[in-house]
Amino acid sequence: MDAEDEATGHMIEEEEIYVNGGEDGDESKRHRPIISGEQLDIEAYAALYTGRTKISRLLFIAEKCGNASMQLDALRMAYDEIKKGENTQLFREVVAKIDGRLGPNYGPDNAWADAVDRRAELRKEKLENELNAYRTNLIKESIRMGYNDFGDFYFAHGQLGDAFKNYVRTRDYCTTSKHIVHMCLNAILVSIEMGQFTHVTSYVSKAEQSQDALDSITIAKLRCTAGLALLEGKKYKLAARKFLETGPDLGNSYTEVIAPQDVATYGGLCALASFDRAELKSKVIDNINFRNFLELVPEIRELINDFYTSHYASCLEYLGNLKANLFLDIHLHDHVETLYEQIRNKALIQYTHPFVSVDLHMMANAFNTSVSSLEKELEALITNNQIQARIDSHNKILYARHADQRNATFQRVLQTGCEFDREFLETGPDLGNSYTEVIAPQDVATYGGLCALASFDRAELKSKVIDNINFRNFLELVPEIRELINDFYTSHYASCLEYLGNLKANLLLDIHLHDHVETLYEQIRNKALIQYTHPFVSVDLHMMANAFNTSVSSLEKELEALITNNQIQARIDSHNKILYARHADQRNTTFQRVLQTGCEFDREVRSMLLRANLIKHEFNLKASRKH
Amino acid sequence: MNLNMNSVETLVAQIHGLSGSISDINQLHSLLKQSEDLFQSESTRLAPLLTELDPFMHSLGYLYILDACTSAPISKEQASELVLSIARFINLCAAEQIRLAPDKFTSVCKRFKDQVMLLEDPMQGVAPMLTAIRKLQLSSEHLTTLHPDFLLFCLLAKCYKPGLSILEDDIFDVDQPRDFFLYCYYGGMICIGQKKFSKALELLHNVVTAPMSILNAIVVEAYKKYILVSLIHVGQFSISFPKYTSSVAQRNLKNFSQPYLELANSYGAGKISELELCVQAHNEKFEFDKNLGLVKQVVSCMYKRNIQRLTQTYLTLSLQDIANTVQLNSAKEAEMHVLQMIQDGEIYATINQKDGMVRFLEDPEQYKTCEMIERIDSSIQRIMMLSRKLTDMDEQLSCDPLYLAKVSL
Repeated sequence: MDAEDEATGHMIEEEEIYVNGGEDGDESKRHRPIISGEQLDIEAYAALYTGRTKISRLLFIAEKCGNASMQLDALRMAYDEIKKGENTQLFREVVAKIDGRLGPNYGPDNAWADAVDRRAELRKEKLENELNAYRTNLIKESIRMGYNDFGDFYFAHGQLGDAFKNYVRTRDYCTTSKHIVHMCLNAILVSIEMGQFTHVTSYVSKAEQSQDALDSITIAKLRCTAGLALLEGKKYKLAARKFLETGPDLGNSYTEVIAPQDVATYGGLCALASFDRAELKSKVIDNINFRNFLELVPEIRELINDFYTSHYASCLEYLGNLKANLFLDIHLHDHVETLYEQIRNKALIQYTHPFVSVDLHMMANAFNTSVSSLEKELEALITNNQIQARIDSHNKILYARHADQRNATFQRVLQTGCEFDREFLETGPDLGNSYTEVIAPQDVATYGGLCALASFDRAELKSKVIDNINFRNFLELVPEIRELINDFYTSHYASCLEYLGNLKANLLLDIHLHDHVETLYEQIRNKALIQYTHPFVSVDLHMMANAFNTSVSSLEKELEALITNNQIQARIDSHNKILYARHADQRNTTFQRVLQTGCEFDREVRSMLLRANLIKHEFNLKASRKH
Repeated sequence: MNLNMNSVETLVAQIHGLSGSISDINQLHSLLKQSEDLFQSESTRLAPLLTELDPFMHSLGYLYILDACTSAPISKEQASELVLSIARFINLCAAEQIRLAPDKFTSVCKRFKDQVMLLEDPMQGVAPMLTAIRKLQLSSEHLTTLHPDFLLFCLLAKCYKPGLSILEDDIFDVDQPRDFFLYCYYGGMICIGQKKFSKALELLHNVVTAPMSILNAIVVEAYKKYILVSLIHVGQFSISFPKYTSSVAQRNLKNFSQPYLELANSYGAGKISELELCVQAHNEKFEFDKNLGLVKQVVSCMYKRNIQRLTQTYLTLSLQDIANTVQLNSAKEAEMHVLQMIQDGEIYATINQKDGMVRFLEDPEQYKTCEMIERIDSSIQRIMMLSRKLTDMDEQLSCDPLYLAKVSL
């Protein structure tokens, strides 16, 4: 038993060295987990907050944690906290949630609730009378105070909408910019509780307009609330910037909304997910203000440093440990997955960036994952054009690859060109036979399938046609089309073309399609040819002619046309009947284009000047005739 | 009568006296303008007076008297003498003085042109006209009324070189739209004669896209040539006009040049036989327009274009295949074409005569030489100059009261 433990411990240590490139021996000495993936210490957590947010957060945890004892803990604390205040409605809700599980001490204390309600009635009446008196006397400042009191009253009793209305109403009676800032802060507080983050943004900008009345604490408050609003709107980069701008004066002065620890967590994660290396260094790691916040959450600090110093395994481990707790955060829980994915992708991209070729085994180790799942991840990133590289799946090596502008443009052109087809594919399956006076569902399959084959690239074909569940229902009605699409996708061109040949006679008899059959067939055939040649450096024309069931010489003609139209980058060795892929020399073509553009510009400008002169002359002519 | 005679004499004396300093010359200029009627009435008797004046020293006075005495109609015998004397004056006169009376100078030159045409000896006009242009021009960007006449002489005399020297200047300043149209049209023809197709294309393009309110014959002829030249030089012709083309031209030009558009169409199809059929069909029309030579060039160009296209698709190809694809009669003929094109630097290839294979190569230009850098640099300099000009023009236009008045209406 002991021996085994030792062995695993040893293995971990070894792996750790390997993981981080094996470059430093002090790696193992670096202190490791402080954070535990263990349960959140709710008491400590709740102590960070005051006011309503404390209750909301506790209730949120109770709802999300999925762990009975933790849930009860949270509810108990929420119960205690509510009892300090006057929000009877919330009180009743909590009591219902506790459902007697915490014993008689946490039962529905009706006496207390009724007393509070009665007191609230009285107070409301008093406030109304006061406010009316102020309004008749038209003393601005008093009216403002009156509305404010009303706002406070409603807020305390959990009527957030009314509270918001009253706070906003004070606006007409604000006489100094200090009042306006005060009004804005109140409105922001209520809006955050209501989850109305658009209000937050607008009141933050309103408050920021009265620069003179802002002290550093208020500025810090506004920054972090703006950050919250942006976070909520999924604008992570902007949110990160706002959090990073939050001044250290914030301290514990805004616990009714946010704890300084939260600033560090939110800001740090958003920054990791959205900043590039340079920005990360300058705005986060070298940011003295923000460092004060980071000190409060050492895990975040460590993981940012790990990320920056490329210790991805340890960084990802920290993130993994934090994840469960972050899911319990009222503001962050919705964004955790997105942020984590972005951070992981960023890490993958950053890792591959300096390499010409990357050994996937090494990389999988560094990211603590298996080669095959890493391959999947990389594939997704390459497909989304976030990494310029290609995977050698045989030798498990990733090769960097220079962006091919031409192909990208070509792809975009194709994409724009097929809006038409999409309309077909978006036709819902419930169409059924309900529209037979115009079109049969079989036709949808035929038209859509052929148009898609003729115009989509491989990826689009896969995602929009083959994996399209709606459309599959249609395809089932015309198995030939389904088969030929699959054949096309799996590169069985001969069989695909045979299906097409069999269908042709019938398609020519279709009222809508007959005009387009030839064009579509030609495009599909061309696409097949292009797709066939794509992965090769050299292609034997005899083999290819076999695959397409045609003769070498006619294949040569077809290829010639495609090459002339720049659809295949290759040249034919007609002597040996081999097709050689040809890589356009970017540098030379660029030079050529530059020279050409220069000449064109020269000519254009001169003729433009001339025309301008002629027109001007004409003006003068007419004018002089008038005089 | 006597008085008149006297005053002509006094004028000559004044010309003698007031040809020194600039202020004197200005005074003389106004004096001469006042006595224009006098010159008119006395025109027949003025010729001898010219001998008393020195064409260089007294250019302005000489010009007025010369103008007056050439205004009368002259017989053919006198013509050659007159041509000589005007040519002598053009060669000797002082540029600063004649620029004071550009109208007079142009009218003298126009008469010179008429006489030379009468004598049917355009060669005689080339050199004096060039001098006249250079003296009349305020800058090399200025298009004078004499430009088209000069180019016409060059064309008629088949003496294209001097014409090219004028065409190399960038023209921005134009007095008369008609001059401009003619200048570009003649210029285009000269460039075609010299096989400078890109320049020709540019000039003809200027004619076709120039702002105009009514269509004229020059534009129509220019458009026909424009189609042919772009087929020869670019290998294709786009039927659509650039958007700044005047609406008159856009609407009407195609109606006047149907055979040419058909030719362009059949050229686009890339088949020699079709092209030749089309040429046959419109042979008379082409000949009538005197464009048959150009049309023949279009046809021969198609072979080259097709061979060039093959270099894009093939690494190696047999001569026989080349002959088949571009519809030449034999492999031998194909070899001649390929050889010619290699020599002209139009394609990069090597011929292996043993097995009759042509191996196409890539463009050897690596854009690494000093010459290339210099070329790019000079091109950049030029473009910077042009864009400065453009900014100037823009500023001028936006300050032009006439323009502003028109825009604000």
